[in-house]
Amino acid sequence: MTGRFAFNLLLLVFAAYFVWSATNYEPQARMIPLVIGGFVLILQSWVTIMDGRTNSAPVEHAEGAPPADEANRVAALTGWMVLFFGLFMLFGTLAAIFLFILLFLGLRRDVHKWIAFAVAGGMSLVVWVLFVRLMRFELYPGVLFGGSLPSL
Amino acid sequence: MRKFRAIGAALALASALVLCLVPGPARAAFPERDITWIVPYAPGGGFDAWSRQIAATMQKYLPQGINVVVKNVTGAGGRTGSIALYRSNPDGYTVGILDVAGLVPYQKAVGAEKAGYDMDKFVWIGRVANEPWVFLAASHSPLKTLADLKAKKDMSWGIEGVGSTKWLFSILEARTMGLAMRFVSGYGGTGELVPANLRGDFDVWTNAGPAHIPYVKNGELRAILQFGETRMPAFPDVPTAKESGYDLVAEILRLVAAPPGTPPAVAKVIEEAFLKAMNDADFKAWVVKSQQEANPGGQKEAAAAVANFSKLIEPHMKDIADVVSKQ
Amino acid sequence: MLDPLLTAAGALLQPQNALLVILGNLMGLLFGLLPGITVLAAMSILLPFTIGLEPISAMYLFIGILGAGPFGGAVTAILFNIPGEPTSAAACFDGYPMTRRGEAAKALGLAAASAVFSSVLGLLVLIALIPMVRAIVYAFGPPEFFMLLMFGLATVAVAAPGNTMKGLVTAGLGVLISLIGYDPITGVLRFGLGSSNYLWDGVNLPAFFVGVFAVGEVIGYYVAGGTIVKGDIRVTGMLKGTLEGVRELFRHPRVFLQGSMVGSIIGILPGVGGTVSNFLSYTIAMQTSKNPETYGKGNPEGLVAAMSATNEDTGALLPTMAFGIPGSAGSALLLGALILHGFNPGPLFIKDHLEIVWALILGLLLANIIATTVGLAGANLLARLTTIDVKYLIPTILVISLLGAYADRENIWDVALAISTGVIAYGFTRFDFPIVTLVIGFVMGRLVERAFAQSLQMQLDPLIFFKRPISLLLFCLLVLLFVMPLVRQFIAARRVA
Repeated sequence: MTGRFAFNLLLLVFAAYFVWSATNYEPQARMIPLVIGGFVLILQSWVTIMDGRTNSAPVEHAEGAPPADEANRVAALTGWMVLFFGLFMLFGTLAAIFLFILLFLGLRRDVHKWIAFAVAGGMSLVVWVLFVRLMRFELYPGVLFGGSLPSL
Repeated sequence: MRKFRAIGAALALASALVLCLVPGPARAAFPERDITWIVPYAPGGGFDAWSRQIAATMQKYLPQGINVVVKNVTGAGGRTGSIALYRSNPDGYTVGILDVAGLVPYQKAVGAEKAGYDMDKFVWIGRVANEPWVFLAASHSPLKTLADLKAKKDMSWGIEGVGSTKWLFSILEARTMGLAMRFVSGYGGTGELVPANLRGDFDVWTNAGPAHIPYVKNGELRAILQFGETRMPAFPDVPTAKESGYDLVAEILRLVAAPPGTPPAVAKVIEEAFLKAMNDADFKAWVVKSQQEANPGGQKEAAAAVANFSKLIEPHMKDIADVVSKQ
Repeated sequence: MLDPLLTAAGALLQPQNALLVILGNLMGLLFGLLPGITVLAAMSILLPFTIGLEPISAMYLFIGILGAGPFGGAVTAILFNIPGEPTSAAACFDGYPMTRRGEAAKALGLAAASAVFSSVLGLLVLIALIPMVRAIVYAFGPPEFFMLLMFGLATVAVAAPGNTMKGLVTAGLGVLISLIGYDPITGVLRFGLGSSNYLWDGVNLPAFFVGVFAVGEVIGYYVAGGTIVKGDIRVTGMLKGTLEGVRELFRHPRVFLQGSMVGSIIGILPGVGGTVSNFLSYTIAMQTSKNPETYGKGNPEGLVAAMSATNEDTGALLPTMAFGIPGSAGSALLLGALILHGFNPGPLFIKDHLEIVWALILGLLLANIIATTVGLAGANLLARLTTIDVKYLIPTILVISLLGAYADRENIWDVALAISTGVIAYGFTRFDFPIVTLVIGFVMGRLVERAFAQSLQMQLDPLIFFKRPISLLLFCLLVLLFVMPLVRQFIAARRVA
């Protein structure tokens, strides 16, 4: 299954969720979601089929075809972002910013360690000056340092 | 000799350990650092304005260098901030202002567990104001008196949203006085309701607080009825519901609370500073200038106000719950 | 009349106030630049610190921030395809392709000129309309709103030429996502996924924008590598390019006027908001252009359309002054600041405190001018970043944007939202689903449903849309807007035959 097909299916699932969920609401609340959701389901099914047919020839992008390891790269960056979120939640904003940039740049072979350190430090400093000193904005302290998670 | 030294050292060590374990003396003066005041609403609104003024004034009546810092925690119509207050450390360093009329019905409808807070468990500090609701219509409308209202067969009421406090009080008013009622909802606040009423989107609405006062004063809006115990100074000519024969006192309750489990001695200290701030001359001047009405009360008054409100909505709880639990 | 004007002008000459306007400008530019953190959020954060200032001084500070916001937001939109402000997001569509061609300076100059001149035009409109403001606000009720918003929403049918089907799909999804949350008409919390507090207010706009634009874009950088400006293109010099950009504005007078009107009108009408105006202007311009397929590929006209509609804060001063009722979120904060200072802004405000009103007007004028000059100078530095390898940009932009997503309401779940939205947004662009229509659907969906429901609630009459003159007029315009291109095509086809 190609990425394109998987994504098209994902969108179908989204639309289906809205339609299904809407049936649980009272008439006035479910009208627009049902109409729009139904509409999207129909169109997206059509799109999925059409895309599936003109199959392997990927649409010509202005910059040429994406690299072969695209899926890996997307997954990798997603993983990085999840890491950032985890750091943010546990250790707070500044620590997350510093550690994330340090790790991201530092682990690359084509970047000097001290550049990574400088960028990480510089960014943290800028954020600190701007938010904490200038605006006296409270950056998130992190769950480990007394922060609380807002109610879901 | 060496034995004594050893024993002495051991004793010293033991007492040091014991002293570390004993909790710090309760008599250590509270407060020793800044106090956070949570406002579950956006900056610039009514609750926020009150809070900032009170907080700034309270600092005068607390030990030197102790600040009261306002923190806005918005979301879910005020619930996110209220829950944040509920879950805060009950050490006296966090307090907050609550819109009781918004919180009580929701909890009664879905239960404390799902709501995330329990109004009975908050430690009340005091009452800021209980501004009465006022019944409003455009001055070019043919509706002028209570009799007109009762005669109208189909009356549209403007509200922000189904399940909101304006909705709640509209229901209370309509049912108590036997008025026709259907809603036009979706307005983003008093700011949108005023021109909407003047434009003719709906017939009547009800509001509390100072926002509509300038419009009544310059003749664009008409206050037909008010719902306080007595007539507000701002509306000396408008009859109260009580005077018209209806036992309905409907007010917006602005109460200050601390998280459950806050020690009584600590709460008392905060209450004292709070009451002093409310009676401060500069603060009172601000209240007058912004055309609002304070009604300071302490812990007892606040708790009583909550109980009263609970009783007020009890008869209507079934229908209220039907709607509010959809949220 | 003259007295308060002199008071306000005099106040401006005081060094403290002049400095505050400049400081406000710098902050407005900075926060405008930073994705996720809107100038509104910045103003909210600063609000309590202005208590110590004189009311007029506080006004100058805030208006400085407000005036600089749109251009600040446009800078990152143009240079990185990541709008710093939702109100300038449409600048991405044509501004970024211009950057990739090496015409960043021209795009920036064009954006700056459009913003400044439309703000001035907005002020003139404001002053001209002051006597009629109440009539205007009273004329626009829910049915008229609905028709106006349908203008915007309906243009999704043509906003993705050549890709209409997928455009409609993303538009529909955008609408559905905008419906998440508490519905004030029925009181139901819809599509909350079990969350009763986090999703109650719906999907947070700044977080969504950070996800769709910033995160999605950064993923693209990571996949592609290299630099933003395509390697072999020469970047035109800053000064030359900027002037060229300013000149370009005068080649598109019709679109400029259209956009300014859209921005002013949306600003005057309370409750709609600035994010709508730049998209509305963009899609209307596309719809009325002779070559709609060139939009989104670096057509300067698209940039003009987007930026000339960013003057909604100017228009919003109108109901703010006439009623004391804010016409935009920005003016709501201004009023909030006034409330904090003990005023109770209402219909008499304009009479009793005209000097504050003049302060706002003068401040806005000044703010625009300072913002664009300082902004252009600063943008020069930022433009250099488009030539650096993206590996340095990725972590820094990511961090700033996600921080912005957090900062709007200090809720860390917004960060998670931005990340997840971003991954999906990358999928959209990768698999040829237009983002334009997604954003339009999201920004307007809920508003349209609400206006529709309110209209029906008013008189319980489904034909209300056709019984009110303005609503009927808008409906006819809407039909015309759609029929015209078809008629043109038909005529052209017949001529060929």
